Amino acid sequence: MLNVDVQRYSPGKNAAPYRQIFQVPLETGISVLGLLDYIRKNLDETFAYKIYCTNQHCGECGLMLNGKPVLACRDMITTENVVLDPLKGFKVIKDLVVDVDSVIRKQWSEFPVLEGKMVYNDFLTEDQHSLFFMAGACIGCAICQSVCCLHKEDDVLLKGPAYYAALAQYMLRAKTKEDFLAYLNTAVEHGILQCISCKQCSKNCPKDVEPYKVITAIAKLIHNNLGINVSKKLLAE
Amino acid sequence: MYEKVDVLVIGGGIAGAIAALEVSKSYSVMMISKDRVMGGASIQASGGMAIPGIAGEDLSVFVEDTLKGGEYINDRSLVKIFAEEGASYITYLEELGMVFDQDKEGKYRIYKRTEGHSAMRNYNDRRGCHEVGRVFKEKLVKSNVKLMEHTMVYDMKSVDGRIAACSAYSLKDGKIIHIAPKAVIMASGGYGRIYSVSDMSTGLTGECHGMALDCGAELMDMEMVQFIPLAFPFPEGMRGAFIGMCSIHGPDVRLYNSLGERFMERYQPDRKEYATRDQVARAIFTEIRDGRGTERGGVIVDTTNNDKSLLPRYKASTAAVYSALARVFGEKAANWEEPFEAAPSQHFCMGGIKIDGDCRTACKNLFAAGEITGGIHGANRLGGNALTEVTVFGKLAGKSVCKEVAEADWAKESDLEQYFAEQDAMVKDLFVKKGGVSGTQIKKALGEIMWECGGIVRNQEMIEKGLAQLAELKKEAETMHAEEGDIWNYSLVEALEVKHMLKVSEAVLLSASMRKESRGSHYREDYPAKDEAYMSNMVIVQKEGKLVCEKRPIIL
Ligand SMILES: Cc1cc2nc3c(=O)[nH]c(=O)nc-3n(C[C@H](O)[C@H](O)[C@H](O)COP(=O)(O)OP(=O)(O)OC[C@H]3O[C@@H](n4cnc5c(N)ncnc54)[C@H](O)[C@@H]3O)c2cc1C
Ligand code: SF4
Ligand code: SF4
Ligand code: FES
Repeated sequence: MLNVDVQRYSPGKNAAPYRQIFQVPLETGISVLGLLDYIRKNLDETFAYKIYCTNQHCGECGLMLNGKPVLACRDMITTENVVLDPLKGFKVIKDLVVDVDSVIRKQWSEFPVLEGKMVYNDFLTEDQHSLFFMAGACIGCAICQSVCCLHKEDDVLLKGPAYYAALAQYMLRAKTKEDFLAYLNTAVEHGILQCISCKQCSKNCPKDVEPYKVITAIAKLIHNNLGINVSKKLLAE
Repeated sequence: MYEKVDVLVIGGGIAGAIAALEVSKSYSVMMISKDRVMGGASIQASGGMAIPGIAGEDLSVFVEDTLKGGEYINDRSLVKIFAEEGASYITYLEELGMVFDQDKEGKYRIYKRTEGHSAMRNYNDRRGCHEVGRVFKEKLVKSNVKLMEHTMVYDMKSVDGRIAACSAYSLKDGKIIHIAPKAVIMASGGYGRIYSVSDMSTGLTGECHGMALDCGAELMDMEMVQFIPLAFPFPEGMRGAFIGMCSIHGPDVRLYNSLGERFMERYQPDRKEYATRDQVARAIFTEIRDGRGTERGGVIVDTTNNDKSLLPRYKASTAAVYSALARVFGEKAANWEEPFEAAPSQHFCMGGIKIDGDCRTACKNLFAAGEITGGIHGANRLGGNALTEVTVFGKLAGKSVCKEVAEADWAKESDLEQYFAEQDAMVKDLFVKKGGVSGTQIKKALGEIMWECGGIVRNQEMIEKGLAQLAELKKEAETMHAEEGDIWNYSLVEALEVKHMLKVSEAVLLSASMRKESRGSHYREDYPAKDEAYMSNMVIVQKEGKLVCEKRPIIL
């Protein structure tokens, strides 16, 4: 039997979020998604959460499991007492559903539209190429944003690891040195150097994107190309 | 209140994205998607893409491979277009700014011959499909396409054989939206989630197939559903999730049943575990069904005989699968040091809406592209062919619509108003509890019926049992309800899905019943051999509200 404590909230209907306890006749070892589906289908059909691809690709199912940000389709229930909350740092739409999209969408609408065949540029080392390239597997789940102290939902500066990982995709494709330096400047403007090196983003990323590694690589490039001072920690990596 | 648009695109996968971008160059477009854009099976794909002709072979070789894989019931006119247009696939994506998985010299890192292909023509991307997704997302966000994410189209109407109106439910703001388009492109993917065990996104339930029938379009070869041999048999929440084929788990994978028997020796003495996807899926299914599965409903996958030095390479190409194995079965299972358990799962839909070479359907101004269509893959699909197909036909659909929408017009005001009022009333009525069951409960029951009666191994008795059970569910659905609520109401979503899922499931069973032979992914244990008399297509049409299955000659 699992003892599941969830946050319920319908903005507009409830004055404030409240807690509800579900007694669920299942054992540990199931995925969070299995638990969510069970509750909705058997105990309360009005219970809201977000699920889509079920296999760690759509990036839609982020939530807090016992205080830790996880993908519901990826992480397992390992304790009999389970606490579920909406992903921290984002506006709640209903129950466990948060509005990650408008943040991610805002980030994307900042980036240029690039067309034409990519040329392998030499502004990056081979290792940096490879690191930035694999960061292209980011699923936009915003879990890294959720744990990062730079992230503020209504921040016009869109600071945060998911943003830098996406920006790296553009550096990879920079055709001219000018473009490349412009991306580095964008990173600075968007607060990359304020990173406190807590590494929480990399620790929690469900896709091994290693956003912190990407950040230190960009920081190094900023230091070398723009001559801007960068914290020792960022350079040390 | 309703909104007028030139073109409505349904679906936020690759086919829908390309179509919408293409149309947006000349017309107003709204794109509606149940998930966020980019999504669908497109974002789930492992990133294998077949490129016709890239190995220097003649396009006819690719055509022949595809036809052979499809057991020659493919629509040949579509396969020809597929091969010709697919040949420029890489250049097309490169022009759009995609970064391919290449080394400094431009050599593809993972490039292989996938089963069924007679040439080395499969490009593989270590990032899965996320880079393809990025390319289109980047453009969609900046385009003048009106994006409606987390919105589900649930009904569509044609007037005088021409597309007229559609209604949708937006989860995020809880509103019902009415749209009057001049033309519609359906790019809403497959119908895999009519099965209780599937690795497709939860929203791929096939409503649009049902709506297409309502509007006078035809479905073809709906019985052709692909199953992958290996998926998680447990735990709750992961059942059906993709583990893949033996080939992605090393060169020496062995499958055992609970008696310790290497059963593939019995089914496919030559290629054993490396026989085609459907042969292996069938064998595993039969072992489990006949009581030779493990306690938890799988068979044993032994990867320990693989040459361990190959592990890093295999892990790199499907990292997500290996990390999921580690979470469920432990690190050793993901390192080829211990066996794990697996069972088959639904994976892809070859059947779908019947289109012509311009993506037109039998309903005027209704177009379809991508996995939602039928005919291209025939009775079975080759690895990597889907991503190429959805790109080619998404683009084609966009182009075709542009040619025709200029002469199209909106439906009459009075027809529209009346239809939308009916749609509002229908949703309201779902919130009234009439003592019956909920849509969610019906959906669950339906999934199990389809898995049992229309799944991997079929026979007449089971198909008829399935049809009878569907008829009962249909009756129950007349009084089903959904929980009341506007924002993010999955109960409403599932009730709206069910209406069409019942129809689509019936289409699958009717076609499966009529095809009294085994061909490709359609296996009938009562007719285990291929029969040349069935070298034809099963076409479903709706006549006076009833589905009729017609056996038609293949399209040359
Ligand atoms: C796990 C997995 C791995 C795969 N790997 C490969 C591979 O390596 N190579 C390959 O070639 N193919 C692969 N495929 C198949 C391939 O991914 C799909 O066939 C292809 O992406 C389908 O693209 P599409 O654009 O037609 O549909 P999808 O990408 O499925 O998009 C459909 C869209 O329509 C939306 N939609 C559905 N119904 C509605 C509605 N009622 N209202 C509004 N929106 C709706 C969905 O939300 C979704 O956004 C794989 C499939 C899966 C499931
Ligand atoms: S390491 Fe930097 S970017 Fe990552 S979470 Fe910490 S502060 Fe944020
Ligand atoms: S970097 Fe990782 S945690 Fe952050 S959005 Fe991408 S996949 Fe999610
Ligand atoms: S459901 Fe898609 S990432 Fe979890």
